[in-house]
This record gives sequence, C-alpha cells and structure tokens, in this order.
Amino acid sequence: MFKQMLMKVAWTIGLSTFLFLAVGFDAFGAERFDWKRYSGQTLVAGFETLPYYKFVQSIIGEFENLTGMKVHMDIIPEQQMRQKKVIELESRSGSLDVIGMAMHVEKILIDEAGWYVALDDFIRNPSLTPPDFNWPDFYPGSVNWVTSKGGKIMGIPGQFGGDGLFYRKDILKEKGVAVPKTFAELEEAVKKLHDPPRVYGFVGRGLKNANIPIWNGIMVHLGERLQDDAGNVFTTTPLAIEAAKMYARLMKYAPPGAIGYNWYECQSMFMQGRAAFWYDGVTNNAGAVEEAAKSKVAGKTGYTALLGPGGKPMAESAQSAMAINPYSPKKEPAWYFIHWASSAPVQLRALLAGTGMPRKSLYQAKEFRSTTHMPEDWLSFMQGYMSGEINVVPMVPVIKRVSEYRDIFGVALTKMIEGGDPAALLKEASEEFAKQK
Amino acid sequence: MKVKRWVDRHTYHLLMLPGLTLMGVLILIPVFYALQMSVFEYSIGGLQAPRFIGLENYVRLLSSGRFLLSIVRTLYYTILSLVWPIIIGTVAALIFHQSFIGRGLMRTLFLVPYMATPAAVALIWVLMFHPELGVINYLLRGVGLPTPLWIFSEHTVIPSLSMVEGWRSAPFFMIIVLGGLSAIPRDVFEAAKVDGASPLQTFVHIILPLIRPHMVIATVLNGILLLKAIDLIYVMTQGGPGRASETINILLYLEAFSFYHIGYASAIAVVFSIIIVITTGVLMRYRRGES
Repeated sequence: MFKQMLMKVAWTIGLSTFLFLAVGFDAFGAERFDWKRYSGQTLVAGFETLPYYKFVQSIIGEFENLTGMKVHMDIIPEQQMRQKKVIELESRSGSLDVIGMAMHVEKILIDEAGWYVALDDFIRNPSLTPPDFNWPDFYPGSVNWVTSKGGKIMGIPGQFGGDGLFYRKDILKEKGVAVPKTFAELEEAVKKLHDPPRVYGFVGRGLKNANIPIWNGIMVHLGERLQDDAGNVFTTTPLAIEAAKMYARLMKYAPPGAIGYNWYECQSMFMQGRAAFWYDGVTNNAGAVEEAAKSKVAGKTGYTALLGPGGKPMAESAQSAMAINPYSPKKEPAWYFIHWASSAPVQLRALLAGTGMPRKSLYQAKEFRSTTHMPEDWLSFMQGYMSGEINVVPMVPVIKRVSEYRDIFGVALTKMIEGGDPAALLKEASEEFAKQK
Repeated sequence: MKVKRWVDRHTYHLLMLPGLTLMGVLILIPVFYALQMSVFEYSIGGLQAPRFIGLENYVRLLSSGRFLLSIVRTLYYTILSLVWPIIIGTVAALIFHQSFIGRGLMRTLFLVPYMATPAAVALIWVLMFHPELGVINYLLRGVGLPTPLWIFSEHTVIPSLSMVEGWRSAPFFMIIVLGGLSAIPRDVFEAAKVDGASPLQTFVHIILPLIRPHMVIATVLNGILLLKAIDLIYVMTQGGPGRASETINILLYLEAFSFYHIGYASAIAVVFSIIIVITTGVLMRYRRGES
C-alpha cells in the first residue's frame, strides 16, 4: 500500500516535471532568457539625432541593469552620422558595434557594399532572442525597407516617417472649405485660405535636398513611378514635370524665404499658426504639433493622407533601422542591445512619447489607446499606414546615388520656386545627373 | 671624436628633426595621399577597386561650371567678410583704447563672439535671421523698415553670412589693432593736440598710418582663415538656397562626404590648396611691402 502510494507520488512528480519542461519552457521562456550572458561587456552605438534614439538613450540604464553591459550611445545630427558611419565602414573599423541606418537613403549602398550582418539567424536563435520578441509583429512595409536584395534582414526597424497633409481644422471650418482629398483640391484650398502675413496658405520645404520628398510625393500621387526596376529614375516625364509645376505653384503661397526652409522651419511656422496647410512627416511631427505648451495649433490640426492613383490614400515613407557593424567583434552583445531597444515594451513607450513605431500590436495596446493625447485622425492615419489601407511608397528613389539625386534635382526645384521653367530645369538637372554617373 | 664633431656641427638640424618628423606625418602624408587619390576614380562603398584615371578628375573639375562658380563665391564671401571686421574691429579698438569705467568687462564681453563655438553661434543666427519668426525682422518691422530675407534668399545669403562672419572675427581684429594703438607713444597725441588737430584729423593723419601695418596683418590672417571657412556656412545654409552659398569648401565636403567621390574631391582639395597657397603668397608679399 505504502509502496503504491510512493509510486503514485513519484509518478506525479515525474509527470509534473516533464510537463513543466515540455510546456512551461515556452510559457516562461521570456523570464528564463539569459539576459546576463554578456555581462561586463561594453558596447558603442552610433545613431542619428532622432526622437526614438534619444528616447532609448534616456532609458539605457534599464538595459544596463538588465544585462550587466555598458552602452555608450553617440547621437549626432543625421548628415554627420551618415558620413561618420560610411567612413567607419569603409575603413573596416569595429569602433561602433551598433549602427543606426537611414534605409531610405543608404539601403542600396549598405546592401551592395555588404555593410551589414544578416540578422535572420539571430532572430531565429532562442538562446539569443527572447521568445516575446515576435518578429512578425513588425509592419511589412518596414520589414521591406530592411530586407536586402537577397532577402536578408539587414537591421531591425525603428522610427519611420510617413508623409501626409497637416491642415488647420479651425480655419477650414471658419472659411467653409472642405478638407482636400487630392493635391489638385489642396491647391484650390490653399488659394482660398491664403491670407498673408497672418496665415500663409501653404508651407513646405524649399531648401535643396530637403524639398525632394515633396516633389516625389506629388509625382507618385499623380500616378508616376520614381524609378524602374533597373534603378533608372523618372525625372522628365510629363507627370514628373506636372508634379514640379504643382510644387512651384503651391510654394507661391508659402511664406517669403521658404526657399531656404527645411522641415523644422516649416514646423515652426505651422506650430505658430502661420500656415493653413503643411505637407510633411505626419507620423513623427504630429507629436510636437499636439504639444499644447509649445504649439499654438494643438487640438486644431487635422491629419490626412491624400488620394493617389485609383482613389487610394497614399503616403511616402522613410525608415530608420538598427544594425550590427560587420566589423564589430561584439556581434552577439550588439544584438542583445538591438532586440531590447526594439522590443514591444520599449517601442510602446517611444510611441507614447509621440514617435511613429513599426510594431503593429502597439496601436491596439490598451496602454496606448487609454493614455495617448493624439487626435483620432492621427490615429486613423497610423492605423491606415499599418494596415495597408494607405498605399505606402518610398519618399525618394531607392538608388545608390540618392544624395546626388537630392542635391541636383533639389537645386532645380529651388529655381522653379523662383520662377524658372520646370521642364527646362528638370531636363538640365537630368543631364547633369546622368553626366556624373 | 669625429661623431662628436659631427653632432656639434649638426645640433641645429638634429633638434629640428622631431618637429619635422611630426610635421611630415601630420601634413605631408595626407597631402601625398590626397595627391595620389586625385588621379584615381574611387568611390566609397563602390564594388570596384580604385581605378587609375590620370588627370581626368582635374580636366572634369576645371571644365565644371559648378566648381568655377564656387571659386567666385569663395572670393566674394572672403572679401565681403573682411570688410566688417576692419570697420567694427577698428572702431572697437579705438573705443577700448580709451580709459573708462568697466573697460575690462566690456572688452571681455566684446571677445565673446570670437570665443563662442561656431556651430552654436550659427544656429542662433539662423533663428534670428528667420524672415517671419526671427527677432531681427521683428525689430525692423516694428520701426517700419523693410524686412530682408537674409540667408533665406539667393540674393542676400552671402552678404548675410559675411555679416555673421564679420561679427565673429571683429574681436580678433580688435585685439591686433589694440596692440598697435598701445604701441603709439603718448607724446604723438599730445603734439597733435598742441598743433590743434581735430579728433578726425588725428585719426586720419596720425593713428591710421601708425596702426596700418597691424590692420594689414589682421586682414591677411583673417583672409587666409576666411578662404577656408566652412563651419558657419555649412550649419547655416549647407550651401543653399540652391547653390547660392556653395563655396569651394562646401563643394569639396559634399563631393567627399555626401556623394562619396573621394578621387574627385581629392582633386578639388589639391586645386583648392594651390589657390590658398598662391593667395597667401600674394597677401604675405603685400604685408611685407607694407611693413
């Protein structure tokens, strides 16, 4: 009898242990993930000045406590960071372990030069990646940005940019003007609301280089492609010329000196209530616009994606990503930093701070829905962006010589604002671009 | 014994050796490397290894309208930027040469623009120059004066940048001229006073000729620095609007670090160095003539 009882107890303990190991492993995997595996190591990470990286920097102590690692985060302006990383990578330096990449500018360069560590195996390896990392949670558009020609994951998506229209709901209502749905309607509405110097009808980037995404944005909305599959850019087609004309016409209603405006000058003008419409990054700039302490138009601004071909809403995108330096001797510790910084809890907190984040689940999270101060139409924009309801396309051609493209055509656009002939200027710029090949 | 004699005879050269070696490492190696790169087609991140192309980069450079225009802009910017410190620096030196309460404090405050970080100074000026939201146009509008577009227009960008550059380098000019003023003997002023010279006559006929060598030195040194200027222009306009403020250094920077054309950028650097050496030679010769 006693023997039978002893056997039962032994079976029960054995079975429970087996069940715990078989089933409980996954359920409690996250807790058992060995965060201290690389304790004592020091990492150096280099990033562009973006709100997401600044946010990660502000909570880096949490990562250091969790892992026992030390992280030095160098955050410098984006132009300087782009140059720094290219020089580091070209010289095969391992001084940076983690590098922030601007995929909309550098994707082809990084891919062709092989300046990345394919992260596919890291993501699949349960000893390196906690089970709650959930790679499929990332929005496919963002995943597409970080995928190489050969189908490898070059980096983990961070903050993204999606262009759309900012409009002053109060002024539109006051003047009885409907929210524009297309660029053509926008042009008409801009004329009606233009009341300088109190309120300018439109504000947009005029500075060379920075102005390219607006011209490209109008182009794709009119139904033109930015490039073909071979990487040849379309710059002198009738629709490219029409887009340039429309850009120049809209800029006539911009404040004097807009020829020298980058996005932050535009943002300042809009936040001061001095412009009725602004076309720029809705996903990232809306946070500042809705900050009542700094913005005169908080709570008075609407956000929308204008309609493109086939009447489908359209937005132009940019994507940042965190990647491992292929010359770093600390690839696995670097991956620890990346998967922590791009985990759902960290990205949720960054989203709550007003930065567009690429994980789909965040926008449904109770914590986000119940605490965000962002208006409903911004949330709809983000939802549409994530769900595929909005047609998301690159804001600049995905080519290796994108910096030259932006410089040469940016100057042509600047001259158009000053009254130059768009067709002639685009032809001239295209010839210059071809000559420098 | 022979060795000792040799060492004694060459002590002078031996003492120079460490300095020359350091100079060789820090200056000559990069110069020769730039010369070497300038005859190659070499792009960062390129799939092909650097390819020798002889003088092709130089031919392309000297036939490039963009490069030639950048030379014109560099000279325009340099000359214009030299005018402001001459006026402001000289006036300030004359004021600070007088005795008055708080002179030390005022002189220190006047030096602040020269000591401040160029990038920080540039960002503050960008905000102040904003045609709609900037404080300068706000004040001008307040008194009914026209409001220029400053750095936000192709026509006014270089004069505006040169104003900032002049404001920044005026203290440097003032220090050198002040040194010249302090060297003038008191009795010269007293003799002028006894002869009944007015303050303007004293300045034109006595002070100006005596401080002129110092003004020339300050102008030459400042001119050399201005030719190479990049920090203010890059932070404030990045060479824009359009290419209206694209000086040689900005073009060189763009070619090297935005377009990654290292070979072509090296050719620009070589030609630019030759321009600087020639200009410096001319200015130094002029200075020697003056002194």
